Amino acid sequence: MKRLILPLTLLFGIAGLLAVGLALGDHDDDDDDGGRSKSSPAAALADPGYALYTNECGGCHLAYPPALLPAASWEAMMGGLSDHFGDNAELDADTAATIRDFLARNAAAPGAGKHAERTWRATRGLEPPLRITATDYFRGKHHEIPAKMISDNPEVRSFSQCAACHQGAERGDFDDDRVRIPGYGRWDD
Amino acid sequence: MNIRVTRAIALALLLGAGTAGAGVVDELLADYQSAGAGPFDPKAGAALWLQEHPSPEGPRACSTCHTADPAAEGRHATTGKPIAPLAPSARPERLSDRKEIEKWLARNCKWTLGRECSAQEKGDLLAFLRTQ
Ligand code: HEC
Ligand code: HEC
Ligand code: HEC
Repeated sequence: MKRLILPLTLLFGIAGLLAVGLALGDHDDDDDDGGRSKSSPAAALADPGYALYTNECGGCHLAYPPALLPAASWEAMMGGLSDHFGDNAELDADTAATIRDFLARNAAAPGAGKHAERTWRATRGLEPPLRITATDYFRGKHHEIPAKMISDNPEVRSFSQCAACHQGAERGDFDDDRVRIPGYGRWDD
Repeated sequence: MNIRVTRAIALALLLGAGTAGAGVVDELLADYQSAGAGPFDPKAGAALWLQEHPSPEGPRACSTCHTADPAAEGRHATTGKPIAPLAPSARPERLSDRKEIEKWLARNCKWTLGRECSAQEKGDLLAFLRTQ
Protein backbone atom coordinates (compact mmCIF):
# COMPACT_ATOMS: atom_id res chain seq x y z
CA MET A 1 0.00 0.00 0.00
CA LYS A 2 2.81 2.37 0.93
CA ARG A 3 4.25 1.87 -2.53
CA LEU A 4 1.08 3.30 -4.05
CA ILE A 5 0.93 6.58 -2.18
CA LEU A 6 3.79 8.29 -3.99
CA PRO A 7 2.72 7.20 -7.49
CA LEU A 8 -0.87 8.26 -6.74
CA THR A 9 0.17 11.65 -5.43
CA LEU A 10 2.36 12.12 -8.49
CA LEU A 11 -0.46 10.94 -10.70
CA PHE A 12 -2.94 13.50 -9.42
CA GLY A 13 -0.31 16.22 -9.52
CA ILE A 14 0.53 15.37 -13.10
CA ALA A 15 -3.09 15.08 -14.15
CA GLY A 16 -3.63 18.57 -12.73
CA LEU A 17 -0.63 20.00 -14.57
CA LEU A 18 -1.73 18.39 -17.80
CA ALA A 19 -5.22 19.79 -17.46
CA VAL A 20 -3.71 23.27 -17.09
CA GLY A 21 -1.35 22.65 -20.01
CA LEU A 22 -4.17 21.59 -22.27
CA ALA A 23 -6.39 24.47 -21.22
CA LEU A 24 -3.60 26.96 -21.98
CA GLY A 25 -3.74 25.91 -25.57
CA ASP A 26 -2.31 23.41 -27.89
CA HIS A 27 -0.62 24.55 -31.02
CA ASP A 28 0.15 22.08 -33.70
CA ASP A 29 0.51 23.02 -37.30
CA ASP A 30 -0.56 19.68 -38.74
CA ASP A 31 -3.63 19.23 -36.59
CA ASP A 32 -6.44 17.57 -38.45
CA ASP A 33 -8.42 16.10 -35.61
CA GLY A 34 -10.90 18.90 -35.23
CA GLY A 35 -9.34 20.26 -32.05
CA ARG A 36 -9.41 17.02 -30.13
CA SER A 37 -6.62 16.63 -27.62
CA LYS A 38 -3.32 15.80 -29.28
CA SER A 39 -2.17 14.22 -26.07
CA SER A 40 -3.54 10.71 -26.40
CA PRO A 41 -0.28 9.30 -24.94
CA ALA A 42 -1.07 11.26 -21.76
CA ALA A 43 -4.70 10.17 -21.47
CA ALA A 44 -3.69 6.83 -19.92
CA LEU A 45 -2.10 8.64 -16.97
CA ALA A 46 -5.54 9.46 -15.61
CA ASP A 47 -6.63 5.81 -15.72
CA PRO A 48 -6.74 4.15 -12.26
CA GLY A 49 -4.76 1.25 -13.74
CA TYR A 50 -1.79 3.46 -14.57
CA ALA A 51 0.09 3.11 -11.25
CA LEU A 52 0.17 -0.68 -11.55
CA TYR A 53 1.10 -0.41 -15.22
CA THR A 54 4.14 1.84 -14.63
CA ASN A 55 5.24 -0.27 -11.71
CA GLU A 56 5.14 -3.55 -13.66
CA CYS A 57 5.93 -2.37 -17.18
CA GLY A 58 8.15 0.61 -16.41
CA GLY A 59 11.08 -1.12 -14.65
CA CYS A 60 13.20 -2.06 -17.66
CA HIS A 61 12.11 0.76 -19.98
CA LEU A 62 9.69 3.65 -20.15
CA ALA A 63 6.12 2.51 -19.50
CA TYR A 64 5.28 2.94 -23.18
CA PRO A 65 2.12 4.88 -24.06
CA PRO A 66 -0.67 2.34 -24.64
CA ALA A 67 -2.21 4.66 -27.28
CA LEU A 68 0.62 3.91 -29.71
CA LEU A 69 -0.31 0.28 -30.37
CA PRO A 70 -3.70 -1.28 -31.13
CA ALA A 71 -5.39 -3.60 -28.62
CA ALA A 72 -4.50 -6.68 -30.69
CA SER A 73 -0.79 -5.87 -30.31
CA TRP A 74 -1.03 -5.52 -26.53
CA GLU A 75 -3.02 -8.73 -26.36
CA ALA A 76 -0.29 -10.57 -28.26
CA MET A 77 2.43 -9.05 -26.10
CA MET A 78 0.68 -9.96 -22.84
CA GLY A 79 0.40 -13.55 -24.11
CA GLY A 80 4.18 -13.91 -24.43
CA LEU A 81 5.78 -12.18 -21.46
CA SER A 82 8.09 -15.07 -20.60
CA ASP A 83 9.99 -14.36 -23.83
CA HIS A 84 9.67 -10.62 -24.14
CA PHE A 85 12.29 -9.30 -26.59
CA GLY A 86 14.78 -11.77 -25.08
CA ASP A 87 13.90 -10.82 -21.51
CA ASN A 88 11.67 -12.50 -18.96
CA ALA A 89 8.84 -10.13 -18.02
CA GLU A 90 6.41 -12.68 -16.58
CA LEU A 91 3.68 -11.55 -14.18
CA ASP A 92 1.29 -13.44 -11.94
CA ALA A 93 -2.09 -14.12 -13.53
CA ASP A 94 -4.06 -11.48 -11.56
CA THR A 95 -1.60 -8.68 -12.26
CA ALA A 96 -1.40 -9.66 -15.93
CA ALA A 97 -5.20 -9.61 -16.25
CA THR A 98 -5.46 -6.12 -14.69
CA ILE A 99 -2.76 -4.77 -16.99
CA ARG A 100 -4.31 -6.42 -20.03
CA ASP A 101 -7.60 -4.60 -19.29
CA PHE A 102 -5.78 -1.30 -18.77
CA LEU A 103 -3.99 -1.65 -22.11
CA ALA A 104 -7.17 -2.60 -23.95
CA ARG A 105 -8.98 0.47 -22.52
CA ASN A 106 -6.20 2.84 -23.57
CA ALA A 107 -5.05 1.30 -26.84
CA ALA A 108 -5.02 2.99 -30.25
CA ALA A 109 -8.60 3.36 -31.44
CA PRO A 110 -10.72 5.74 -33.49
CA GLY A 111 -11.86 8.74 -31.44
CA ALA A 112 -9.20 8.25 -28.74
CA GLY A 113 -7.12 11.34 -29.66
CA LYS A 114 -4.85 12.23 -32.54
CA HIS A 115 -1.91 9.90 -31.97
CA ALA A 116 -4.16 6.99 -31.03
CA GLU A 117 -6.39 7.45 -34.04
CA ARG A 118 -3.49 7.74 -36.48
CA THR A 119 -1.80 4.68 -35.01
CA TRP A 120 -5.04 2.78 -35.33
CA ARG A 121 -5.36 3.81 -38.98
CA ALA A 122 -1.73 2.91 -39.70
CA THR A 123 -2.09 -0.61 -38.29
CA ARG A 124 -5.65 -1.45 -39.36
CA GLY A 125 -5.88 -4.78 -41.18
CA LEU A 126 -2.21 -5.65 -40.55
CA GLU A 127 -0.63 -8.41 -38.50
CA PRO A 128 -0.50 -6.67 -35.06
CA PRO A 129 3.01 -5.16 -34.65
CA LEU A 130 4.84 -5.93 -31.37
CA ARG A 131 6.80 -2.71 -31.44
CA ILE A 132 5.60 0.89 -31.38
CA THR A 133 8.71 1.68 -33.38
CA ALA A 134 7.50 -0.68 -36.15
CA THR A 135 4.24 1.14 -36.95
CA ASP A 136 4.02 3.36 -40.02
CA TYR A 137 2.72 6.15 -37.81
CA PHE A 138 5.88 6.04 -35.66
CA ARG A 139 8.15 5.71 -38.70
CA GLY A 140 6.46 8.63 -40.41
CA LYS A 141 7.17 10.84 -37.41
CA HIS A 142 10.81 9.78 -37.06
CA HIS A 143 12.16 9.04 -40.55
CA GLU A 144 13.94 12.40 -40.87
CA ILE A 145 16.21 11.74 -37.89
CA PRO A 146 19.64 10.55 -39.09
CA ALA A 147 21.29 7.39 -37.68
CA LYS A 148 24.18 9.37 -36.19
CA MET A 149 21.69 10.78 -33.67
CA ILE A 150 20.28 7.33 -32.77
CA SER A 151 22.22 4.06 -33.17
CA ASP A 152 25.58 5.87 -33.23
CA ASN A 153 24.62 7.98 -30.22
CA PRO A 154 25.61 6.25 -26.95
CA GLU A 155 23.00 8.23 -25.04
CA VAL A 156 20.15 7.08 -27.30
CA ARG A 157 21.19 3.77 -28.93
CA SER A 158 17.75 2.96 -30.34
CA PHE A 159 14.33 4.46 -30.99
CA SER A 160 12.90 2.30 -28.19
CA GLN A 161 14.55 4.72 -25.73
CA CYS A 162 11.80 7.33 -26.10
CA ALA A 163 12.75 9.29 -22.98
CA ALA A 164 16.27 9.99 -24.28
CA CYS A 165 14.76 12.49 -26.75
CA HIS A 166 11.28 13.11 -25.34
CA GLN A 167 12.23 14.39 -21.88
CA GLY A 168 8.56 14.58 -20.89
CA ALA A 169 7.83 10.98 -21.94
CA GLU A 170 7.13 9.82 -18.36
CA ARG A 171 4.36 12.43 -18.26
CA GLY A 172 2.99 11.32 -21.62
CA ASP A 173 4.43 14.43 -23.31
CA PHE A 174 5.67 13.64 -26.84
CA ASP A 175 5.15 17.14 -28.22
CA ASP A 176 7.52 17.66 -31.16
CA ASP A 177 8.29 21.20 -29.89
CA ARG A 178 9.85 19.80 -26.73
CA VAL A 179 12.20 17.20 -28.20
CA ARG A 180 15.87 17.45 -27.28
CA ILE A 181 18.26 14.91 -28.79
CA PRO A 182 21.23 14.23 -26.46
CA GLY A 183 24.41 15.68 -27.94
CA TYR A 184 22.45 17.58 -30.61
CA GLY A 185 20.02 19.75 -28.71
CA ARG A 186 16.56 20.86 -29.70
CA TRP A 187 14.94 19.45 -32.80
CA ASP A 188 13.80 22.11 -35.24
CA ASP A 189 12.13 21.05 -38.41
CA MET B 1 2.58 -16.57 11.36
CA ASN B 2 3.65 -16.45 14.99
CA ILE B 3 6.36 -18.97 14.39
CA ARG B 4 7.59 -16.99 11.42
CA VAL B 5 7.66 -13.76 13.43
CA THR B 6 9.55 -15.42 16.26
CA ARG B 7 11.99 -16.89 13.80
CA ALA B 8 12.42 -13.55 12.09
CA ILE B 9 13.10 -11.82 15.38
CA ALA B 10 15.59 -14.49 16.42
CA LEU B 11 17.36 -14.17 13.11
CA ALA B 12 17.34 -10.39 13.26
CA LEU B 13 19.05 -10.57 16.63
CA LEU B 14 21.56 -13.06 15.29
CA LEU B 15 22.44 -10.93 12.30
CA GLY B 16 22.42 -7.76 14.31
CA ALA B 17 19.20 -5.85 13.83
CA GLY B 18 19.09 -2.23 12.76
CA THR B 19 20.05 -2.73 9.12
CA ALA B 20 17.66 -1.27 6.57
CA GLY B 21 14.65 -3.24 5.34
CA ALA B 22 14.96 -5.47 8.38
CA GLY B 23 11.46 -6.97 8.49
CA VAL B 24 11.01 -8.20 4.95
CA VAL B 25 14.57 -9.36 4.32
CA ASP B 26 14.58 -11.24 7.63
CA GLU B 27 11.38 -12.94 6.67
CA LEU B 28 12.85 -14.07 3.35
CA LEU B 29 16.09 -15.25 4.97
CA ALA B 30 14.06 -17.26 7.49
CA ASP B 31 12.18 -18.87 4.60
CA TYR B 32 15.37 -19.78 2.76
CA GLN B 33 16.70 -21.20 6.01
CA SER B 34 13.68 -23.43 6.48
CA ALA B 35 14.32 -24.61 2.90
CA GLY B 36 17.66 -25.91 4.17
CA ALA B 37 19.97 -23.01 3.28
CA GLY B 38 22.13 -20.85 5.52
CA PRO B 39 23.98 -19.42 7.27
CA PHE B 40 24.14 -16.46 4.92
CA ASP B 41 27.34 -14.66 4.14
CA PRO B 42 27.47 -11.05 2.86
CA LYS B 43 30.97 -11.71 1.48
CA ALA B 44 29.70 -14.60 -0.64
CA GLY B 45 26.86 -12.32 -1.80
CA ALA B 46 29.34 -9.61 -2.75
CA ALA B 47 31.39 -12.11 -4.78
CA LEU B 48 28.27 -13.42 -6.55
CA TRP B 49 27.25 -9.82 -7.31
CA LEU B 50 30.40 -9.35 -9.41
CA GLN B 51 30.77 -12.88 -10.78
CA GLU B 52 30.57 -13.00 -14.58
CA HIS B 53 28.54 -15.69 -16.34
CA PRO B 54 29.09 -16.39 -20.04
CA SER B 55 26.22 -15.82 -22.49
CA PRO B 56 26.02 -15.56 -26.29
CA GLU B 57 25.82 -11.76 -25.91
CA GLY B 58 28.89 -11.57 -23.67
CA PRO B 59 29.55 -11.95 -19.94
CA ARG B 60 26.70 -11.08 -17.56
CA ALA B 61 26.73 -10.14 -13.87
CA CYS B 62 24.38 -8.38 -11.45
CA SER B 63 26.72 -5.43 -11.83
CA THR B 64 26.05 -5.32 -15.60
CA CYS B 65 22.87 -3.37 -14.89
CA HIS B 66 23.30 -2.27 -11.27
CA THR B 67 27.06 -1.39 -11.44
CA ALA B 68 29.65 -2.81 -9.02
CA ASP B 69 28.34 -0.48 -6.30
CA PRO B 70 24.72 -1.15 -5.34
CA ALA B 71 24.50 2.39 -3.95
CA ALA B 72 25.14 3.85 -7.41
CA GLU B 73 22.60 4.44 -10.16
CA GLY B 74 22.55 1.63 -12.71
CA ARG B 75 21.58 1.31 -16.34
CA HIS B 76 19.63 -1.52 -17.97
CA ALA B 77 22.00 -3.44 -20.24
CA THR B 78 19.61 -3.76 -23.19
CA THR B 79 17.28 -0.77 -22.94
CA GLY B 80 19.66 1.75 -21.34
CA LYS B 81 17.01 2.94 -18.89
CA PRO B 82 18.52 4.34 -15.67
CA ILE B 83 17.88 2.12 -12.62
CA ALA B 84 17.75 3.79 -9.21
CA PRO B 85 20.28 2.48 -6.62
CA LEU B 86 19.40 -0.84 -4.97
CA ALA B 87 21.15 -0.11 -1.68
CA PRO B 88 18.76 0.77 1.16
CA SER B 89 21.34 3.32 2.35
CA ALA B 90 20.84 5.24 -0.88
CA ARG B 91 17.14 4.47 -1.29
CA PRO B 92 15.29 3.46 1.89
CA GLU B 93 12.29 1.95 0.08
CA ARG B 94 14.49 -0.77 -1.44
CA LEU B 95 14.19 -4.33 -0.11
CA SER B 96 10.95 -3.45 1.65
CA ASP B 97 8.44 -5.34 -0.51
CA ARG B 98 8.60 -9.10 -0.49
CA LYS B 99 6.80 -9.68 -3.78
CA GLU B 100 8.98 -7.13 -5.54
CA ILE B 101 12.21 -8.70 -4.26
CA GLU B 102 11.17 -12.22 -5.21
CA LYS B 103 9.94 -11.18 -8.65
CA TRP B 104 13.16 -9.36 -9.55
CA LEU B 105 15.47 -12.00 -8.06
CA ALA B 106 13.70 -14.64 -10.16
CA ARG B 107 13.95 -12.58 -13.37
CA ASN B 108 17.44 -11.24 -12.83
CA CYS B 109 18.94 -14.59 -11.83
CA LYS B 110 17.53 -16.14 -15.01
CA TRP B 111 18.95 -13.31 -17.11
CA THR B 112 22.32 -13.21 -15.36
CA LEU B 113 23.08 -16.83 -14.46
CA GLY B 114 20.82 -18.49 -17.02
CA ARG B 115 18.93 -20.24 -14.20
CA GLU B 116 17.11 -19.49 -10.97
CA CYS B 117 19.31 -18.75 -7.96
CA SER B 118 19.36 -21.29 -5.12
CA ALA B 119 18.01 -20.34 -1.70
CA GLN B 120 21.63 -20.10 -0.51
CA GLU B 121 22.58 -17.71 -3.33
CA LYS B 122 19.50 -15.52 -2.78
CA GLY B 123 20.19 -15.41 0.94
CA ASP B 124 23.82 -14.43 0.41
CA LEU B 125 22.84 -11.75 -2.11
CA LEU B 126 20.25 -10.23 0.23
CA ALA B 127 22.62 -10.44 3.19
CA PHE B 128 25.08 -8.43 1.09
CA LEU B 129 22.60 -5.93 -0.39
CA ARG B 130 20.98 -5.03 2.93
CA THR B 131 24.31 -3.83 4.28
CA GLN B 132 24.87 -1.53 1.32
C1 HEC C 1 12.54 -7.55 -17.50
C2 HEC C 1 12.57 -6.35 -18.30
C3 HEC C 1 11.26 -5.92 -18.98
C4 HEC C 1 10.02 -5.80 -18.42
C5 HEC C 1 9.61 -6.07 -16.98
C6 HEC C 1 9.13 -5.35 -19.48
N1 HEC C 1 9.84 -5.18 -20.64
FE1 HEC C 1 9.11 -4.46 -22.41
N2 HEC C 1 10.95 -4.66 -23.26
C7 HEC C 1 12.08 -5.14 -22.62
C8 HEC C 1 13.19 -5.17 -23.57
C9 HEC C 1 14.62 -5.64 -23.26
C10 HEC C 1 12.69 -4.66 -24.79
C11 HEC C 1 13.45 -4.44 -26.09
C12 HEC C 1 13.99 -3.03 -26.03
C13 HEC C 1 14.89 -2.65 -27.15
O1 HEC C 1 14.83 -3.24 -28.22
O2 HEC C 1 15.66 -1.68 -26.95
C14 HEC C 1 11.27 -4.35 -24.56
C15 HEC C 1 10.43 -3.80 -25.52
C16 HEC C 1 9.09 -3.49 -25.32
C17 HEC C 1 8.22 -2.87 -26.33
C18 HEC C 1 8.63 -2.47 -27.74
C19 HEC C 1 9.22 -1.07 -27.77
C20 HEC C 1 9.47 -0.62 -29.20
O3 HEC C 1 10.61 -0.80 -29.67
O4 HEC C 1 8.54 -0.11 -29.83
C21 HEC C 1 6.98 -2.75 -25.77
C22 HEC C 1 5.75 -2.15 -26.42
C23 HEC C 1 7.08 -3.29 -24.41
N3 HEC C 1 8.38 -3.71 -24.17
C24 HEC C 1 6.01 -3.37 -23.53
C25 HEC C 1 6.10 -3.90 -22.24
C26 HEC C 1 4.96 -4.12 -21.37
C27 HEC C 1 3.52 -3.84 -21.73
C28 HEC C 1 5.45 -4.63 -20.20
C29 HEC C 1 4.67 -5.04 -18.95
C30 HEC C 1 3.73 -6.14 -19.12
C31 HEC C 1 6.90 -4.73 -20.32
N4 HEC C 1 7.25 -4.29 -21.58
C32 HEC C 1 7.77 -5.16 -19.33
C33 HEC C 1 12.18 -5.52 -21.30
C34 HEC C 1 11.15 -5.53 -20.38
C1 HEC D 1 16.36 10.06 -31.44
C2 HEC D 1 15.36 10.82 -30.71
C3 HEC D 1 13.96 10.25 -30.58
C4 HEC D 1 13.59 9.05 -30.00
C5 HEC D 1 14.49 8.01 -29.36
C6 HEC D 1 12.15 8.99 -30.08
N1 HEC D 1 11.65 10.10 -30.68
FE1 HEC D 1 9.70 10.57 -31.00
N2 HEC D 1 10.23 12.23 -32.00
C7 HEC D 1 11.52 12.70 -32.17
C8 HEC D 1 11.50 13.91 -32.97
C9 HEC D 1 12.71 14.72 -33.39
C10 HEC D 1 10.14 14.17 -33.29
C11 HEC D 1 9.58 15.31 -34.10
C12 HEC D 1 9.63 14.93 -35.56
C13 HEC D 1 9.13 16.04 -36.45
O1 HEC D 1 8.15 16.66 -36.10
O2 HEC D 1 9.77 16.23 -37.48
C14 HEC D 1 9.37 13.09 -32.67
C15 HEC D 1 7.99 12.98 -32.74
C16 HEC D 1 7.23 12.05 -32.03
C17 HEC D 1 5.79 12.00 -31.99
C18 HEC D 1 4.84 12.95 -32.71
C19 HEC D 1 4.55 14.16 -31.87
C20 HEC D 1 3.47 15.00 -32.51
O3 HEC D 1 2.67 15.51 -31.76
O4 HEC D 1 3.47 15.11 -33.73
C21 HEC D 1 5.43 10.96 -31.18
C22 HEC D 1 4.02 10.52 -30.81
C23 HEC D 1 6.64 10.33 -30.75
N3 HEC D 1 7.72 11.02 -31.27
C24 HEC D 1 6.69 9.22 -29.91
C25 HEC D 1 7.87 8.54 -29.62
C26 HEC D 1 7.90 7.29 -28.88
C27 HEC D 1 6.69 6.59 -28.30
C28 HEC D 1 9.20 6.91 -28.81
C29 HEC D 1 9.76 5.64 -28.21
C30 HEC D 1 9.16 4.37 -28.66
C31 HEC D 1 9.99 7.95 -29.47
N4 HEC D 1 9.14 8.89 -29.95
C32 HEC D 1 11.38 7.93 -29.59
C33 HEC D 1 12.67 12.12 -31.65
C34 HEC D 1 12.73 10.90 -31.02
C1 HEC E 1 19.36 -6.83 -17.26
C2 HEC E 1 19.48 -5.86 -16.18
C3 HEC E 1 19.56 -6.38 -14.74
C4 HEC E 1 20.46 -7.29 -14.22
C5 HEC E 1 21.60 -7.99 -14.93
C6 HEC E 1 20.12 -7.43 -12.83
N1 HEC E 1 19.07 -6.62 -12.50
FE1 HEC E 1 18.24 -6.39 -10.67
N2 HEC E 1 16.83 -5.14 -11.45
C7 HEC E 1 16.78 -4.72 -12.76
C8 HEC E 1 15.62 -3.87 -12.96
C9 HEC E 1 15.20 -3.21 -14.27
C10 HEC E 1 14.97 -3.80 -11.70
C11 HEC E 1 13.68 -3.06 -11.37
C12 HEC E 1 13.79 -1.61 -11.56
C13 HEC E 1 13.76 -0.85 -10.29
O1 HEC E 1 13.23 -1.35 -9.29
O2 HEC E 1 14.25 0.29 -10.31
C14 HEC E 1 15.76 -4.61 -10.78
C15 HEC E 1 15.45 -4.80 -9.44
C16 HEC E 1 16.14 -5.60 -8.58
C17 HEC E 1 15.76 -5.85 -7.20
C18 HEC E 1 14.51 -5.29 -6.50
C19 HEC E 1 14.88 -4.30 -5.43
C20 HEC E 1 13.71 -3.68 -4.71
O3 HEC E 1 13.44 -4.07 -3.58
O4 HEC E 1 13.08 -2.80 -5.27
C21 HEC E 1 16.71 -6.68 -6.67
C22 HEC E 1 16.75 -7.27 -5.26
C23 HEC E 1 17.67 -6.96 -7.73
N3 HEC E 1 17.31 -6.27 -8.86
C24 HEC E 1 18.78 -7.78 -7.55
C25 HEC E 1 19.58 -8.20 -8.62
C26 HEC E 1 20.59 -9.25 -8.49
C27 HEC E 1 20.95 -9.98 -7.20
C28 HEC E 1 21.12 -9.41 -9.73
C29 HEC E 1 22.16 -10.47 -10.17
C30 HEC E 1 21.76 -11.85 -9.95
C31 HEC E 1 20.47 -8.47 -10.62
N4 HEC E 1 19.53 -7.76 -9.91
C32 HEC E 1 20.77 -8.31 -11.96
C33 HEC E 1 17.67 -5.02 -13.75
C34 HEC E 1 18.70 -5.95 -13.65
